[in-house]
Amino acid sequence: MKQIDILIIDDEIKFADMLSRRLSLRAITCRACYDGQSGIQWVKKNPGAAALILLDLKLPDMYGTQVLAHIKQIDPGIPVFIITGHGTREDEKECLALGAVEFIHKPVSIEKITTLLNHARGEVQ
Amino acid sequence: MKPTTIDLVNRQGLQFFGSVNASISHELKNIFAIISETAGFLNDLTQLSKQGKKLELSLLENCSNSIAEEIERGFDTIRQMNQFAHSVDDPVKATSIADTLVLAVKLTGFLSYAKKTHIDDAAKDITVLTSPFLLQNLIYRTLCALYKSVDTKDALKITFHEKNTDTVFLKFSWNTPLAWKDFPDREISDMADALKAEISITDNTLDMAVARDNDTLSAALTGGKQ
Repeated sequence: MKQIDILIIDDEIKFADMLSRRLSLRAITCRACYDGQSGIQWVKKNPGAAALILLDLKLPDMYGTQVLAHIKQIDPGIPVFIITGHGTREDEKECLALGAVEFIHKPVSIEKITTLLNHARGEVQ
Repeated sequence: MKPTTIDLVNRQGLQFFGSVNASISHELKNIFAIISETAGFLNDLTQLSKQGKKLELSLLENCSNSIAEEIERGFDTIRQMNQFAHSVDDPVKATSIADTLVLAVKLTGFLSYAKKTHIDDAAKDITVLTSPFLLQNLIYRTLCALYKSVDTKDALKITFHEKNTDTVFLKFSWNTPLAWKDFPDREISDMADALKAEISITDNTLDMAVARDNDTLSAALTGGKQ
């Protein structure tokens, strides 16, 4: 049983919080972590508890690819989507090689996120 | 073979411009992403209101304040971008150390790994006759190297003073001792040489002594027209 729908790991606090509020209006539960370590710790303490993860690439304490690698070690099956304002093609290749499902550039529409969640829940074929 | 000063400006300068532009575009994208989400939230509230749900004015006020703050953050970013773009207007000129440090700290502040940095604002400003662009590049790269190396929770302090009539002394310090690896690298060393700057490091300080009047650099960059 999933405890939450989406874990957001992003150091842009206002972005993460506003996105969480908008998703909560759509009955989607979120948890926001504002740096890499707290995101990893949350996944470690709650394996399998999120339906998907939205992960920023540039975080204050570590690079998103490092966070992704840690998360995939802890919970290999969890779908991780990179949401970034910055990433290069090399970043994209590395993230996909590390197991990210998709590399998405900011800004991203709420509809896109709800679609990703529906796919992760297996509600859309 | 050591690169010529023109090589340094061309090759490292382009890399520097690219790096700063990338971090500025990242900052602007983040700002737009917040404004976009806030506008989306306002739209959500409007739709709910149309469906008969009571509209909380405090939420509207919060959104309006948030958008205003992000727009100001955007203007501030563009001001720094503009100031940086003008650093190549004059190949060599009298350059304020205080202004160069402030801009370098602001530009590196866009990097996700930037640390809290305090510039001693009580220090009397000093000008040096140098390449403002190369000096900005040297300080920017030094700050990047420090941000990547110092402890995550550490902060940097920068002070500067006139060492003597020929030299300005910049000191970067931090609290947690640091084991340096590969610093300064070749690019930073070449730039420091061109700027007649000497760098010395300990486990919690980095000192940079910069020549106040760099006649060799002036001749190289202006063809003796300075």
